[in-house]
Amino acid sequence: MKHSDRHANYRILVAQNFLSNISLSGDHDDTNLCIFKKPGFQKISRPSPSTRDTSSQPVTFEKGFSEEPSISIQKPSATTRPDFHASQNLYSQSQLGYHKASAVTLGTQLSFPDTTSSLVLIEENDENVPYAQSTRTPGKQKSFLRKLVKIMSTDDMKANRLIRGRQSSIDGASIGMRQKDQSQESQMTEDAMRPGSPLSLAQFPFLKRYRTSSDRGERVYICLEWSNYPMSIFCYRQFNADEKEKEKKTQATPMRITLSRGIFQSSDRLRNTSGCSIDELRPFNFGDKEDHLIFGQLFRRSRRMTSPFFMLFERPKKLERRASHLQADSSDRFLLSSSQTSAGAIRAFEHVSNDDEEIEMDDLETMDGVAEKEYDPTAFDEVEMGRKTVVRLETFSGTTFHFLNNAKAKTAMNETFLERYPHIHLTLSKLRSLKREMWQLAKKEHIDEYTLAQAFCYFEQIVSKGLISKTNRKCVAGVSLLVSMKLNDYSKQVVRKYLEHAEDQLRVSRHDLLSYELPLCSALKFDLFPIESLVIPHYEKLIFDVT
Amino acid sequence: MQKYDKLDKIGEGTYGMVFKARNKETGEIVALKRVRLDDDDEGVPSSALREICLLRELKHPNVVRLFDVVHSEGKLTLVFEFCEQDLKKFFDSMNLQPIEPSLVRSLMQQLLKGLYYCHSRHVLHRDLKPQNLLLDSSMQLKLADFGLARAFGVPVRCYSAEVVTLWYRPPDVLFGAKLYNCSIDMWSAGCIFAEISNVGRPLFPGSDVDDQLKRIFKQLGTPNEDNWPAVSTLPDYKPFPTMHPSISWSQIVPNLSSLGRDLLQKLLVCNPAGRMDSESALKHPYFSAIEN
Repeated sequence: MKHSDRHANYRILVAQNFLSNISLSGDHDDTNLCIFKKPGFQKISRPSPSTRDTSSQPVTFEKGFSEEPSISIQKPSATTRPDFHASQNLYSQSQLGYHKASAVTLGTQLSFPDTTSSLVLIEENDENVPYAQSTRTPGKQKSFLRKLVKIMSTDDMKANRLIRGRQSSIDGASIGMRQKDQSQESQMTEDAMRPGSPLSLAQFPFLKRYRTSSDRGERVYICLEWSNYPMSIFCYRQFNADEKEKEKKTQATPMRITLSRGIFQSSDRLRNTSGCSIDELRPFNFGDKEDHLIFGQLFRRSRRMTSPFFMLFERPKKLERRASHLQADSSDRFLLSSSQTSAGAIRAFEHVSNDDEEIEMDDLETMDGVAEKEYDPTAFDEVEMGRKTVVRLETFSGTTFHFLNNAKAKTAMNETFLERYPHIHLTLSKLRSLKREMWQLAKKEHIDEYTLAQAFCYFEQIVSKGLISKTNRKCVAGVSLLVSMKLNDYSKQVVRKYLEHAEDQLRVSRHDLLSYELPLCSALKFDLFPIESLVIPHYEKLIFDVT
Repeated sequence: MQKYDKLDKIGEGTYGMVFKARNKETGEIVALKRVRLDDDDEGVPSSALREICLLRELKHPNVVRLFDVVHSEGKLTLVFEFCEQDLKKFFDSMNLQPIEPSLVRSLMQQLLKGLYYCHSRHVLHRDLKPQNLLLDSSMQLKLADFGLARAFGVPVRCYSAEVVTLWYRPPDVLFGAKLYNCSIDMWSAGCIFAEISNVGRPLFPGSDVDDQLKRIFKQLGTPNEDNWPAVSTLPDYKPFPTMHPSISWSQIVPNLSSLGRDLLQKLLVCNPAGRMDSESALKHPYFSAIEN
């Protein structure tokens, strides 16, 4: 802990578990990628010469980094966790005998039990070390990345210039990287472009340790201290046959994008001309005497079933097939969410005029169904996981997530969404904005998060069934929250107030809104208390404020 | 609606008329519950929504079965299985003659079985009273009217405290508790148990919340922090004069065996945490006599 050590020139690579308390997509406030932002934040003290033989001597961090006012530290305690120290033991050995050398930690130790992600940060001190200066220019950033790629891509570790020790005599297996004092440093910078340095061996343990200590799928961020921005985010994926398959798919993506763009345009045009999709959820007209809704209508025709009635209430467990819908040629003749199980007989709901009943039935039974997957509350969010480039190497592969500006990211996201869910006539960004509107409404009425999460769950189920259209989307969003409120003990007064606000905010009339209430419930097969696992993902997002 | 021949009006439910009807195709007798849809108010009544979405899942001999839902002419009609009478009407028909102890036991057991089924499926009934317990011709008891029922266990901020008809409302809910569980139904079950045994004489016929609490505490003793920790933190808590039970249970429920009284006392516990649940109530020795 010598004071002079603090002024030594050093660069630190520190691995830090850090996103572990963020269960979601990582865009939470807590996710500050640069908690090790400032020079002097932490540095490993070298064991004193007298203790050079005590290989078990743990490395400790210098006190005093907390004096740095501008450091944002989410989990300061983590930096002093025993795990971390232990992980540096190996490293401390490598420091033996270097009085002036400041420490470089190759913080790839990710052994915190709750680790989901790790952060690697390049730490530079403010002294005008040539190398440190050079990295502050964008050009050098690039070269830094290039170096990194090289480090990661060459098994023989020829050209590591990121961090490099000088002593070839040091056993490669026992050292990570180390750093010289300032004079050595400048020399090193000159040498930086010289490949095949004798110390390239030293890179091997770094990668080896990184590979063995990081869990699969962990994200690693490399940040520059002066800019706060991650220079590179990568994660280590096991390279195996499954991965290969995925790779193939990823590689095939560009082609499919162009294809999907075509679909997008054409369906857009279709939407514009037809006004609404055929599958959409439609309202009931309460005044119409002809309106006649019978549950379990189809069941009567099924000979397999003994009683016609019980069918509605049997939940279709097996693969559900969604019957394609008839071209509605008259307004009072249409179907809503007709579904059939593989057993062939589950109709959730039907809305037909009495005269046309027979024809509808017959038509339906001859129709081909479209496979409908069970609702997955996280599916829509996976779409935005975004584009990635996978660099595949012999023993492991790295993934880079592309940064796009907002508009492009939105387009890309919507394209991916459309590609994945061609039957949904709604862009993902619109879906999100509708959810935001619901959230605003909920805030106004002080509706609790679970009720709102349940409403999201209804809404997304309708969306994923492909029942949403331009004409009904606002009503469906509004009515989802209404139904959820009714089932969660909200008093009549609150419900009434909500309806008034919903009319204003969504700019739809109350009559329109309410006319979707029964269609919504029946499209959901009246499963209005969805099991918790379907609601909790939404709920957690609301609680953590990241929707 | 052409499927059904309407026969008689049976009564008035929480949100509409109830008719007896016959299915034209099968000849089956059903009960039709009519829900008026008023599109300029707040849409479908929440009680109807609750009833449909909860009862569609519940299939048990002691829970009334919902067969079908029909929407026509601006009305929503729920088609239920038909039951001859409810427990209240049965009491009236007995003209204060004591009910056979074996029948009392059987009714109570069926009530608990129905409750256990609902609770195991995470459904709270929240409106148990003799009027909502239907009896068919073979004295099968069925829980009905799930208009106030809800799923529980979810992290909702609070539940409504305005549930359960006053006489059957537990003291914690009377004190305004906003988070409760199955214990709410178990208290009502206890009250109904005593009422069955007494042929329809309600156990705690309070006139308002205060009177209701007074009647309860007079019989069970006023709760304090010792036997009910944190009772004073309940939203509507107010201190009541300390009362000690003066009347013995054998005076209150003279027709009940000692085992029955024991079960009753375990159900009627002021502190919800100490109240027996439906599973252990079914295992109470009072019922083992049936199997033997």
